[in-house]
Amino acid sequence: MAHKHHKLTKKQLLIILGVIGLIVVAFGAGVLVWWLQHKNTASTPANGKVVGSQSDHALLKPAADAQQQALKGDTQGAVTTIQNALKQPNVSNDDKYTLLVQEGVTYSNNHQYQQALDVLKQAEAVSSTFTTSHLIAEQAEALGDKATALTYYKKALTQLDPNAISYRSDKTFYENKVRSLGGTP
Amino acid sequence: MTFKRMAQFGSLAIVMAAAFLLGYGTIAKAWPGVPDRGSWYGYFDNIRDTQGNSVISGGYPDWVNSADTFINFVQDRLYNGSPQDRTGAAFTIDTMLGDPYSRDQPPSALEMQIWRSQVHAASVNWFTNFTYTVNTYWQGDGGGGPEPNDDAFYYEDGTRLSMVFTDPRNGRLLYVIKRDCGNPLTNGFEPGLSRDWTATGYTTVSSPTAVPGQTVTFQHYVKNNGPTTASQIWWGTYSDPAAPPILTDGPDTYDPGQVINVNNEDFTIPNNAPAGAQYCRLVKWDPSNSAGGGIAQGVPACVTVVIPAKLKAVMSVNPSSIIGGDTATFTPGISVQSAGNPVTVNCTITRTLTPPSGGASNLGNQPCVDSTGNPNIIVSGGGVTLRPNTYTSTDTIAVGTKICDTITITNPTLAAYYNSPADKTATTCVVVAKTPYVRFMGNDIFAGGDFASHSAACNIQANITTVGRTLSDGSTAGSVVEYGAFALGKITSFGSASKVLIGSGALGDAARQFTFANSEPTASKLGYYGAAQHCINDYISQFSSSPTIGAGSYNVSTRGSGAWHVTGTLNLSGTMPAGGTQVYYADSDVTIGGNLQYPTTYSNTSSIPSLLVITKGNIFVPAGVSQMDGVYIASGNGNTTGVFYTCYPKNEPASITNACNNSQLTVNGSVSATRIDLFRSFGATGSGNSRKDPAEIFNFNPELYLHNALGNSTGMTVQTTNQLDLPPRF
Repeated sequence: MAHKHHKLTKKQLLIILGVIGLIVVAFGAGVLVWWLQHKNTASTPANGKVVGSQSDHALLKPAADAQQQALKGDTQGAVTTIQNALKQPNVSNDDKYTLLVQEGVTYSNNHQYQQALDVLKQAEAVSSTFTTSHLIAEQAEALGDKATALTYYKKALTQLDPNAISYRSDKTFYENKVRSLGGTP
Repeated sequence: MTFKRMAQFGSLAIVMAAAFLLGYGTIAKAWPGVPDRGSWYGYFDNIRDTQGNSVISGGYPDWVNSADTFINFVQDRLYNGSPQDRTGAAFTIDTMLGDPYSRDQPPSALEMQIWRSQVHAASVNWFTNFTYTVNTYWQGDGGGGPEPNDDAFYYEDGTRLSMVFTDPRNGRLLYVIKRDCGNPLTNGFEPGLSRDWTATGYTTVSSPTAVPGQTVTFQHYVKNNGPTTASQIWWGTYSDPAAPPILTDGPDTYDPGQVINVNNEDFTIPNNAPAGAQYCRLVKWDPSNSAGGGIAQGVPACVTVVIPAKLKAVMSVNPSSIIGGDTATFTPGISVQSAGNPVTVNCTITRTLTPPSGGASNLGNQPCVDSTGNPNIIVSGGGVTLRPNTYTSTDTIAVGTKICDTITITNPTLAAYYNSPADKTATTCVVVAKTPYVRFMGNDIFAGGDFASHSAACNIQANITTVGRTLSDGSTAGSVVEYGAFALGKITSFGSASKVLIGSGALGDAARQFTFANSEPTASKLGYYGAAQHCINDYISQFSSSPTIGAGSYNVSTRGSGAWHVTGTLNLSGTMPAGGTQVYYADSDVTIGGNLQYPTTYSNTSSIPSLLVITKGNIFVPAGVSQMDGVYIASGNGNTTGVFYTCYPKNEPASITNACNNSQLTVNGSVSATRIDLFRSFGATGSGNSRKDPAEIFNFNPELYLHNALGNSTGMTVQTTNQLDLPPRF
């Protein structure tokens, strides 16, 4: 059977182009919505040196390497990895903060609380966050310095993001910490 | 609004929603939770809810510090806990079992058994600070969505006291749980206690051999042979195992059995690469297995340089010229200029036709093929002759038309295959020409012997060489004599008895019945008449004492009868007066300045004129002369002169633009000369009988018998004494 060939009218052509345009806009809107939902939760390292199968939201590679080394029991190797990374030129403040926190955690996990405290203070100098505060508090507590621990646990409570999902549980957890040290949240 | 219009808007809305979700999903899928669930989407039911609480309410107490206490705690939450905890425990167990995810809630007995064994097999640090980038939560309260009883991953940075499960064989991270809330964590790896996998890799090259300048592609692959998902595999490409990497990247996550084409590299062989040189690539990957295997490498893939044969396109045609209706055969080929490895060649043939007026037109293109019809031609050794192509012209094709076949090599294109870019093409043309004819009527023709004044032996062998051919309609055209043909040398393609002879014919052919000796059975020996000598009288002694006149131009019409000795060159023209007898004996060349004619009618035999021209030089007949009546003798010096030129000046090569191409010459009388140069090119073209028209016609007409200056014919009476009717001869 022979097919009839209809030539598109200008109006039909405009309708088709319009529909295609709407689909493209919808697709872009999907991407935009995803981005708006995640822009404040992302923590992509500034230098893009990442591990993990996806390049977004993965830990800075030297920090990840150091964490892996430490988990294998090579604390000194982990510290060396971090310190070598810190010696690199043009290390951003974000990266410096991440590396110092990881160095502090490495010492802490190896029960070297004083070294951990010292390094975490350096991290705090770069950027004072909920993480630096609760980690400093934990080192101070381990060293028996309750006053410092209380100060930093309280400070950590003030640095909690009330919009974060973990806000309620973290708030409860650290308020209990304050109370356990004899303080008042 | 009509129902149809509502349906259209509804369809559009569905399509836009799909596009929105596609856009959202395209970007959302790129994250390191579980692969088939986006951030904020529940692990079990895939429902989006962005707020919630701990996975395990209250987290893990400090007494959870061993595999057994951990298992007991989780199992208690799974079977006896709140809905939040039951879901959290199932979520934890299922994700600890890893990919592929069953999403059984609660897990089956078999899954629980496997999980317990895996927890026991893992190495666990029960209290350690862990830095994470991805956290989890229970979606069942806090708003943010429909509050499903489910757990989901989301991005969040932090460092918290955790339980860290690692592979005891290599210390690799397997699973992390935040102690204070029971949330599983990751920092970029896909969680799961089962990590048994091995990876392999390999490299391919698009061609094992290549020539200088050729580009080949190396393709590098890494494969996870399973049985579980492999994450964080890095890769690098190398020219040599010991060399620095060309490129490194990763890490990538591989599903069981998945192969990833991690890199493609286009590599161009250097132009100066010697034969036999090898260029290799290989891929390395790290780690090589879940047991902590280090860097592994694949087998190198190599390309070996070969120096190809140097090619040259060639094209020949036979014959090099044709007449209308003829067929020419073009034979393309690829020749090898210098030896090398065999080469597969592709080429095309283009045919063009250029009329005499110019302006080539394309008659078509076709691929070259070898003798078996294969367009992929293997060229080796000295080259290859390709399948010929014929061209058959029409009868009426214009003389001067050129038909050209061009062979163009389309593959290979690299310069390494040629000494010169021009060697990729070759063009050869056949020209449409014509083969003019001559016709001798009313008497015989004789070639050979000599003027007795030159050589008393009179035995110089002379040939008669003309053209005879069969036309496309089956008829023949050629040069003939009406009666006998005699030659002391060879006769070729010249027919007697008015029959066209093709080549030398064969014994008994009608076209050689009057060719002497016609009893010769060997075609190549046609002619060679058996006379010992053939002496020609130049009549110079008879007229050398005639009154002399000076060199110059003379019009015969204004001169009375007489014989004259011209002391130099002579230019003659005009119409002989009735009954006049004029003899001109010239010491030098004679030029026919215009038509030399007898009157068209005679009142009686005494009115017939007679013109005799004798020269010791040449006789030149310009193109403008179309008729010459009389007897012409050019003895010359017996060597370089004595030539009767039917077209003078003789501009070679013959051309359709030459004036002699448009003018037929008719000689009513006889010609004796050391050599007759037949250079007119009139006729032999067009359609019908015009294709058979001769360029020159020699008629030995009756006037020569009735009134001839060389004989005593004065007062002859012509009367009919006998009459015989004969059938026509064709």
